[in-house]
Amino acid sequence: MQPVTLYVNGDKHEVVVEPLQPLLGTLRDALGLTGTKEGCSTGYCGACTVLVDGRPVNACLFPTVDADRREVTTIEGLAADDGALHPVQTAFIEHFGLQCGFCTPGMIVSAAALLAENPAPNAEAIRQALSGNLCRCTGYQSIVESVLAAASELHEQGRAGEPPGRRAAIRTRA
Amino acid sequence: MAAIIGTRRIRPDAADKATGRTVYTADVALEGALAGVVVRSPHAFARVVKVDVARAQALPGVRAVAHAGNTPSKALDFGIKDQYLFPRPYARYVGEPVAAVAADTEAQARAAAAAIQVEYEVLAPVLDARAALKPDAPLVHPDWEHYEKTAGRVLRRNVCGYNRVRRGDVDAAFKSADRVVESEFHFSPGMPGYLEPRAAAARPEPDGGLTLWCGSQSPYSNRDELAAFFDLVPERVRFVNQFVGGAFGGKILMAAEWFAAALALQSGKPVRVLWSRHEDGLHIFPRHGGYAKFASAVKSDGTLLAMRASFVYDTGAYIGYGGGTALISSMLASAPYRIPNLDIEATLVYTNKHIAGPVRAPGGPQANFAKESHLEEVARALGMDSLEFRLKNAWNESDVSPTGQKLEGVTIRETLGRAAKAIGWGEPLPPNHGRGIACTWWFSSCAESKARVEIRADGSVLVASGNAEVGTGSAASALPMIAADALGIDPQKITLLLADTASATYDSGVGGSGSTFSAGLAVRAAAKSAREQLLARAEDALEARADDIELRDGRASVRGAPEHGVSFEQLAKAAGGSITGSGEAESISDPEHDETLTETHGFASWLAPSYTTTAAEVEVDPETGRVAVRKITTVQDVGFAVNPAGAIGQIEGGAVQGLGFALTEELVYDGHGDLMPDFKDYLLPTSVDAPAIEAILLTSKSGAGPFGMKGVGEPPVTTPAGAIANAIRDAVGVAPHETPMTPERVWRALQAK
Amino acid sequence: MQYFEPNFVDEALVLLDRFSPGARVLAGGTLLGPQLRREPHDAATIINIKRIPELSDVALEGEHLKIGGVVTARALAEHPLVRKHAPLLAQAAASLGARQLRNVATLGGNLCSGHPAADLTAALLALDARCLVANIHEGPRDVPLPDFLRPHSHALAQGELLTGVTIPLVTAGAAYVKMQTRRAFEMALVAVAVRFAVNESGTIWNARIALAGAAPVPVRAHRAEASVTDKAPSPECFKAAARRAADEDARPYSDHRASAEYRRHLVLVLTERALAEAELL
Repeated sequence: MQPVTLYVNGDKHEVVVEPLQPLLGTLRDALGLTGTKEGCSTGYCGACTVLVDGRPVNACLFPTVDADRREVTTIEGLAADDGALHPVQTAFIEHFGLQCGFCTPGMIVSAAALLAENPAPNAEAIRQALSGNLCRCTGYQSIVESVLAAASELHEQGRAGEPPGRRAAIRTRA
Repeated sequence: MAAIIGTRRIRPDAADKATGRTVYTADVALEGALAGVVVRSPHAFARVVKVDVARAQALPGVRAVAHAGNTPSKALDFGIKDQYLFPRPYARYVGEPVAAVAADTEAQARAAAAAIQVEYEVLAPVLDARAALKPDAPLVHPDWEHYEKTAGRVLRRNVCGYNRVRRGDVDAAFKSADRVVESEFHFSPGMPGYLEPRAAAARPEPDGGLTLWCGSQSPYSNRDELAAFFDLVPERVRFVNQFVGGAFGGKILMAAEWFAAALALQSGKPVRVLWSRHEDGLHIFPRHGGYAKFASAVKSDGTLLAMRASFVYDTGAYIGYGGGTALISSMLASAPYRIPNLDIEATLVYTNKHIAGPVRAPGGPQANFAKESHLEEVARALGMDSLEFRLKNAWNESDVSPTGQKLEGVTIRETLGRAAKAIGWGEPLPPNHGRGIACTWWFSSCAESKARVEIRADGSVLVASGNAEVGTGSAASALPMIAADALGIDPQKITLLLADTASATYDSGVGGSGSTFSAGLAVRAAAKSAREQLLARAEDALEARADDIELRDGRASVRGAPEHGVSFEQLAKAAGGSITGSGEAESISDPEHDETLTETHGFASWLAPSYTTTAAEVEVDPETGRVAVRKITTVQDVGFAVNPAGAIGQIEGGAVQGLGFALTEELVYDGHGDLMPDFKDYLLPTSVDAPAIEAILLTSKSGAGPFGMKGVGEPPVTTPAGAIANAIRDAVGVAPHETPMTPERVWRALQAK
Repeated sequence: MQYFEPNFVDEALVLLDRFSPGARVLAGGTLLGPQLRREPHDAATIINIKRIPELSDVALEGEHLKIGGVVTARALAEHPLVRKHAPLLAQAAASLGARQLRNVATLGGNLCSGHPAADLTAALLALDARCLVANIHEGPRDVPLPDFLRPHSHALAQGELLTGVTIPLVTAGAAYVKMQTRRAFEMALVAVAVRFAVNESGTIWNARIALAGAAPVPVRAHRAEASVTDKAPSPECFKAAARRAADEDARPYSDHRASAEYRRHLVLVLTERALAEAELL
């Protein structure tokens, strides 16, 4: 059993996990953050997408030990401290980018990471960037529209390129 | 007050879904729950000789082991009593549950599952529908002659369903034809493809009942079935349905629910059963694979004289809800075209594979892919433009359906014309680009549904419906809009209680393009009743007549004098604490049809039919056979869209599901009957595969549903494959006769040209 | 289950030596996790090699580019040194899986998987990569990549660790052409990696053609290479080479995804396209 320090959505957590315990199980079961979903357990659907140091990964494959002392961002961490939704979240709501909602946390996290890196993507770039997030309900068109709208809104708010999520105030590093 | 119905509205459940707050079954916290694990047959066909649980029961943490020896021996009844909860004694597909274990931890449950010793007598499976029809084929159900079944069901050896539609004199018509064209097709089975794997949790209650948490399309019928099976009082069995992460017809029959219940009842403790994608695949209810043969007789001017069509569907090990595929296919095969002489039949065949089910539009993608491809070949044989050919033969108002039903509100020509225009039909295209078109009709469903609308003591409004929210927004979005429309409030302010069987509501289940239809009728009736009661109370309070009172934003006031009003809260108080309106979907009788035209058919009359055309543009790489879909346009007559965003969402989602059926999705079985259900192997379309989609809603208001609507959810998935196949034909001259039309299959079709 | 996070290669070697045969190396974890969840693993020892700094290095060493085994596909796609000196590898890495997988999948993991359609492996074959193998008893050795590959396995002996690869620096045009059933997020049915240079007399030299999905492991197409060497680049030249690659170099297999016949055909088509694309650079 390995002790691990996780910074999740800006909060520090000390956990003890089996060496190969995927981050997904730790987030959902140990930390009660059930917003991230398990769709396939093999890295082939993207429903479990979270950010580690701003980069999207499949939490179902990512060993918790590898997240030690790194910033983890989940769907629960995108809204601001005062509860204001991230523009990507608002866009998905207003532009009908979701139906059953099961792929949505992973999709939104993935999209937020994309926009931090590429603040003005076109439709093709969005589709390429989200190719690791499967959706069965929407047909993707409304998702692309949502991401385009979010890009626009972030730009309007002067937040283009801003990394998503809340960061820990202090992190210890070896 | 601005109109609510018919406007694009943000879904009330969207904010929770976009923030990760929505609770799905795997998110439900259940204190003290045991972990439940299922033991499954590794063989496609075997007689279970012995199930020895002694070792397993002795392991640490084990609280219950369920198997055939300690659970009810009743047969499950889906029209043919061919199935049991656990094998008695045959296990008929790879993955069929043989036992289940509950233990304190998942690790303990898995260890116990591994310690259950099952002795199998392995038998030769039959893995193909045509092979199963041979006279010397092994019998999937050796005791079929002794099975109880409802009247009208066909059961003989490996055949478990048959229907036929016949009209006119097909032989004579074929003899007199100028051209006869024949085509054969094969469809691969597919998965519903919902992202949320199945899960369930059950807790025994002190009154001898059971509470179940799950994500089902039909919690009420599940509840009734479960209660009857375990001899529980139905009112004491409560299904608390969670939000469902996609269903598409794959979550109607119970799966994890059975084992959560069995283990909870046996152990006396709560039990959670959570499945991985892989295990969900072992218990999958796939879309039917199978074969189709078409032959059409036609005059050289393009008039269709006669059609013969024959479908053979692989329904898997048990009948389940597989019958619809065969019934619907025979109704689609010749539609929506005027063909006076018909001989259409559809056969359902048992094999040792997974129980095929009513996946979104059962039979729809298959029959339409075959029919529209075949008719394309007919048009080409005549040298006719395929749009012109379709328009020449398409139904007009007052034509009759294949089974003699008089057709009203026929909008097929309009959908064809608008789709063709939107795709740029007839305009020049670069080499290897093509356009194709496919059209269909579909039914609406009106099933039993009950709802309640309550104005509570604080003036807030609760809408309770038995309908489940599986993603479409039918329940979470359209129902509040319908209630809000009657009560003059913002739909976002409504509290919604869905699919909890303890809520004094009812619903037959999500499916068959009937949710908004049936549940909408119930909610509309309940809201109307609540409105009338509010107005009656307001009459007293305001000393005005109901005609002069309007409801707006939670108040009743005299029209033109808004300050002279009273709040819902005050009205509820005056009523003694709350005002409740109840309503149910009125039963709508099926249209008449000619019964002499059908044989053992249970679905020959279609309520409020809708019409849909899809046009597609593709680019084919002739060297590799790869097909890129550039655009899909679907025009669908929805009658009326309560929330157009919902209808458009169904069309867009259906377009990509249809594309998956057409090009990438294949549920692969090996020679032992083992399948490959993981998403590594079962290829759902990604965002890169999906094209731009144009959804065009026709609102003719001629449907029988609330506000003139027709069923919306299924048609969009039935037409893309035919349109894509025909676009491939347009681009390179041929298209595969098999789905999915993978690059290799397109390449082979080109080689064979 | 025991778990270690060594900080040096030597430390990792000591652990591998001590705990073999049950020792398993954890790099990206995309394969190991699911594998061990399927099989019993109480006796396994997990050695996480991602805390060994030199395994994440990308650096020029003389006339070679040296890349550590734990460098991710994403890093390969974006690293300026890789993009400049081994653009073929960057291109192959950018095509791997989807973004989430590229952020964790490693070069070493790809090579050790022995998958017949492994993207990075095919590109590295066409780059004359040599595998750097560390061994506690015998010291480091380097192995030509073709000798390292085994179908669904690798040639590491017990107690050995793949620490990275070296790639000789070559100025050349390159292209990676990949064919799948759907249009993203899938292992190749067949992929072709091509690299060649054109000398002052206008003829091809230093040609390398590697095939993925066309044999039990990714392979070099030697006869196709011979066919273009010393010839002027032209459509006819490329067609002839593609024909040799398909007919003589490919040893394709049939599986549920595609038949051997179709794979052979894809080798023909994709080799020609890759050669044409490489020429343009």
